[in-house]
Amino acid sequence: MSALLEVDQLAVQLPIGQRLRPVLHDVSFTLARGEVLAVVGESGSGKSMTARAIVRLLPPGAASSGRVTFDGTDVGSATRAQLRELRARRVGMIFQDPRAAINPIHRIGDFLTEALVRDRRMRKAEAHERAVAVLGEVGIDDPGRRLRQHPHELSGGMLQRVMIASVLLAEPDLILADEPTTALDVTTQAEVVAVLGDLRRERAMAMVFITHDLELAAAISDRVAVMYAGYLVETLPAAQALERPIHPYTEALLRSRPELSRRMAAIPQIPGRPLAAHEATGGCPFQPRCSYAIERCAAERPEPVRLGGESVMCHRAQERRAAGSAPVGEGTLVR
Amino acid sequence: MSAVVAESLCKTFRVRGEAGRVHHEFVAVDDVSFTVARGASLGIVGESGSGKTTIARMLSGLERASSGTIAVADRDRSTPVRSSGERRRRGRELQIVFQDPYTSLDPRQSVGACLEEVLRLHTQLDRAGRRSRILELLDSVGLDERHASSLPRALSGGQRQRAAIARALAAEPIVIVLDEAVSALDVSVQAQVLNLLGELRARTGVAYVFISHNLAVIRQVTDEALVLRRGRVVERGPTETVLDAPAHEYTQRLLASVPVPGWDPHAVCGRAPAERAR
Ligand SMILES: Nc1ncnc2c1ncn2[C@@H]1O[C@H](COP(=O)(O)OP(=O)(O)OP(=O)(O)O)[C@@H](O)[C@H]1O
Ligand SMILES: Nc1ncnc2c1ncn2[C@@H]1O[C@H](COP(=O)(O)OP(=O)(O)OP(=O)(O)O)[C@@H](O)[C@H]1O
Ligand SMILES: [Mg+2]
Ligand SMILES: [Mg+2]
Repeated sequence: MSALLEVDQLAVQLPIGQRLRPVLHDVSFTLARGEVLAVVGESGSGKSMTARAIVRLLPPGAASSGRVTFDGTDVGSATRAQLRELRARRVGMIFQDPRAAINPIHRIGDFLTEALVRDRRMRKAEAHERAVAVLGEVGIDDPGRRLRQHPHELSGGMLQRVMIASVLLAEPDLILADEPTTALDVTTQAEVVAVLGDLRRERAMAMVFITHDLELAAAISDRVAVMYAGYLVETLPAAQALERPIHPYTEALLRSRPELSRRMAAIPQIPGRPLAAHEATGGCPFQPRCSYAIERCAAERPEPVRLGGESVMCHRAQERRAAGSAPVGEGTLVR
Repeated sequence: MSAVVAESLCKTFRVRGEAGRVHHEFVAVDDVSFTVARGASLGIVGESGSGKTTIARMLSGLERASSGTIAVADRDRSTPVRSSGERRRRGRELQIVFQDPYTSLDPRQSVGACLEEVLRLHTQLDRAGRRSRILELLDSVGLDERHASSLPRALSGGQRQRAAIARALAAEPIVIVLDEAVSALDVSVQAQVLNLLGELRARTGVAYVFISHNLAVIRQVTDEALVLRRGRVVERGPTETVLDAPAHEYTQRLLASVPVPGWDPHAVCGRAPAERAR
């Protein structure tokens, strides 16, 4: 079966300072129907930009190359009308910052029902009913009242759920969810994730789920992709993500998690400072901060290598895998 | 001496009724009291929509309490400011990092200019002093010179949030209210910021009111915690006790919902798989 989404050598440059500079380098992955890919990684590494590039919602002045194919159609050469149709019906985007993405002067009800009435020719009353039902599903009490309110009258987590509801109403084939549950308490997060899981089972909906919560990423996805400085440095099966990552960055990231069960004297940090994608030199982008780096790492950028279900951009990948994978320290996993 | 004393805070909002014109009152914060000593750190956790941000906004003076009182550094804030000097002092003493970093930062101002403005207003530093302090502040949150010249919209979500944290630190306040300030950060940058907050507190005696949905983070940076639900405090105590031996059913449910290996969202929220209403 062909993939629902194919991203091939996607690269994006943005105007930074006076020049176009790369923020994404040759990102490639595929997603089947019903599949969930979790994307984790450094702040500023290009996670949101990857999601935006898929539906061609890049900032003004951006340049991109590579190929995005959705359900057999090349998104790069889509017409405006096709793009509009794609975004309205087939690919739903849950933006990272709902406060910036939802028009502040419209009521929540208008925001949620507008597309149904306009694009689906649904009657107003019916659209209203659907909106009430979906808000209820994402755990919002008294949805009728919420529909009459404006965005500033809702809490951060409520607005985030309104954004999720708007995507659920569109019933797309693919959801690009950019940190969709960061503003939710963990109980509400479970409710929302359960709703998304049901959609996946019932309608074979696929999802790209960007998050900083590594446990959440592993629990809800089939595969986890890890980004660093504009590169996709590792993709691995979810079951393996927390215990046997291969890339040293992933390993270091796992070590930096705060523990729930005890107060740590200091939380382990990754030494050095993050690199911007455009600062990457000839070598591996993580090399300056990597405790496993060898000479070759500074000189030559590793190509992603496929090892079974994984794809890893590291010169020492084979060796690290053979060694029984990364020593993420049992200590960090015992909770 | 106390950094913050909040007594019987209440906030009601008028909300539009069914017919458009009928209004009724909605109680967002219902009789919430707490004290944060100098150099202490209070965590606030709770349900989405339970009133956490509303409390933060009342502390910072952006929202008037419907009733109850607030004092910062033992000075009452319930009355409106009377002079520009007092406004400035209030601004310096309590800084806030908002949940939505877009609202913390002026979209037309570069990060560097924003920090410069705070330093000019609240410190005696000269030009060169401010310049080096800006770099120091950026460095402490994992940003650097190139971010100083960026407008907020040219930063990623987490970078924007870090710029907002740097701005709050710049004023050297007595208390910082952090509303979901680290939830947009990857765990490594988050570790850096949390470690920094810990060091600053030990060194300068700054106090925190730390709002977060992340219970592991609450464990790391707070001494005491409040659990809010529907505007009311349902549990309070030393952070350790609240997390290790939660007494209230809601707190227990929260702890049981934290994603761990093998986490099953349907089981957590008691929902049968795929019973979605169509
Ligand atoms: N409009 C813009 N102009 C210039 N640079 C930008 C713009 N938007 C983002 N960037 C830069 O592009 C890079 C990638 O940003 P992106 O938003 O994809 O990061 P991210 O991985 O989603 O990070 P976060 O976890 O913090 O949200 C960042 O370094 C950011 O500074
Ligand atoms: N300006 C307003 N007008 C009407 N209702 C409001 C207003 N501001 C907040 N509310 C309501 O007050 C309640 C508490 O909101 P608040 O933003 O304080 O919640 P929160 O605990 O911060 O939630 P979250 O975790 O989702 O950020 C919500 O029901 C919200 O809809
Ligand atoms: Mg992002
Ligand atoms: Mg809030």
